[in-house]
Amino acid sequence: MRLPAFDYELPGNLDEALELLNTYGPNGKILAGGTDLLVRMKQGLALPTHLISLKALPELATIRESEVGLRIGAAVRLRDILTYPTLEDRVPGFFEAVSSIGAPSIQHFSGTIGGNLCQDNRCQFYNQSSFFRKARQPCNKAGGKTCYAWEGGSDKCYSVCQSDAAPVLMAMEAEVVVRSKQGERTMPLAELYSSVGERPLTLADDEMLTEIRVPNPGPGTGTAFEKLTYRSAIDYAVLSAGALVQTEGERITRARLVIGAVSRAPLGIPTAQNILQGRPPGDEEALDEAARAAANAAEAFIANNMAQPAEYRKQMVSVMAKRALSRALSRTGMTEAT
Amino acid sequence: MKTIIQMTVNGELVESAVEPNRTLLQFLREDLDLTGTKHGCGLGDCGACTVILDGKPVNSCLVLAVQAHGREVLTIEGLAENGNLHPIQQAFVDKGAIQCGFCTPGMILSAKALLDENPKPSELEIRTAISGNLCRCTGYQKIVEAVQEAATVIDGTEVSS
Repeated sequence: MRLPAFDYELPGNLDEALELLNTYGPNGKILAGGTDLLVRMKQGLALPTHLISLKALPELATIRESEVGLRIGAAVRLRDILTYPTLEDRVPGFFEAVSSIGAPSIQHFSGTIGGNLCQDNRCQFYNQSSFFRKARQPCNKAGGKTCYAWEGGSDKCYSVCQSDAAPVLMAMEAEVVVRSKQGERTMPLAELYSSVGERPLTLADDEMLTEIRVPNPGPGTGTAFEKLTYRSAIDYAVLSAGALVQTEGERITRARLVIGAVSRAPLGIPTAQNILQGRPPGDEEALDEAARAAANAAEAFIANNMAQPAEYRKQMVSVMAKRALSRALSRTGMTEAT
Repeated sequence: MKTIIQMTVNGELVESAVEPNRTLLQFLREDLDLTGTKHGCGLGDCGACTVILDGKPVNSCLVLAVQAHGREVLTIEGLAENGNLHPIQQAFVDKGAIQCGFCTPGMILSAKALLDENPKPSELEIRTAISGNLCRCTGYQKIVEAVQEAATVIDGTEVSS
């Protein structure tokens, strides 16, 4: 499959990149590793006239330490996160999430953390060749007026956010830094996602993600990521769950649960906090209750947008949620010891 | 508009003018006639197009040729020296790890990237390293054995020299 024609821009610094983004607006796209964008371009799903390469911007490809945690440049390669000293011990959930993305041939050179967070939503009726898609009228996401993933059609797009890094980073309350020519804003990662399938990010056309701030989990805090896939590599999640649990004494004080690959944006389950707070770590029933709450919240969003049956995915939400919570919980002692 | 790019391919400096929408895979196969690198899915799923770029395995179908400017590329053609197969290639032949052969260049380069970084990998590490390379003949077991064999041979050579 050949790439459509475009102009290649190679800015030498961030200001130049932002200027170009400002100039080309919706026709300019940021090219980091290209593992999502170039595929969509080959399939005719994205047709930017200009690609703005981040190759010459080393400032976006470095990991820095701050007092409160890690500051990871948006163009940091996935492999460089996995090999960053002590990262696996500090934030095992984040490590698990990044390890699960693609395969080594994606992680080593091309795949970036910013790209994983900013990838477009997916659907089995949308992410196809133009030949495949020509057999039907275009769907909402392709500029048409229906949704094939929702039985009977819908005026909403039921595509899925397939970022594996997002659920656990949202559970950890990570923040993102977004820049444009006009300035800079920092916001919770959750606010990067619009919950609109056709346009899943809240970024304006002239804005780009430049940094991800991953807070150090406090003492007594554990993180975990669970991903359900049919294959062990190069597979998108059928479902995923990111969790953070904090304990103090013999009580859970903080519990964050985010379900991935289920909705247009990573789905936060705020009721998990209410259910788990104050419960003892060994309270199996509390975990079941939180997992059921996740399943209830997720059910309304699960559509026929993947090859896997929606019914199976609905039933697996609570399983993945409980696994992620249990593992995060089992790590609360581990963090305390270090 | 064409851009002039330079890169080292299998130890040789190459200079060419390419359109921005040319992938590294197309550049290698169509401009340089290095057809050992295979074009499989073109979408980053199958790993048949794996080459080593600056020491790292990468799907060349998802890298623009212009993005490889100034970098060092190693393809399957660059492995043999003076007509002698590289130990990984030899091990693939000896262990029967080649069936139809389509995945072989990518498999071997993923294995090479692994062994360069980790000369004594566990079986799991080998399986993980080639997890981005699909073999539709499903000869994975023999491929893993070949990489283990190659690791032993390379390790032995280095100790004796």
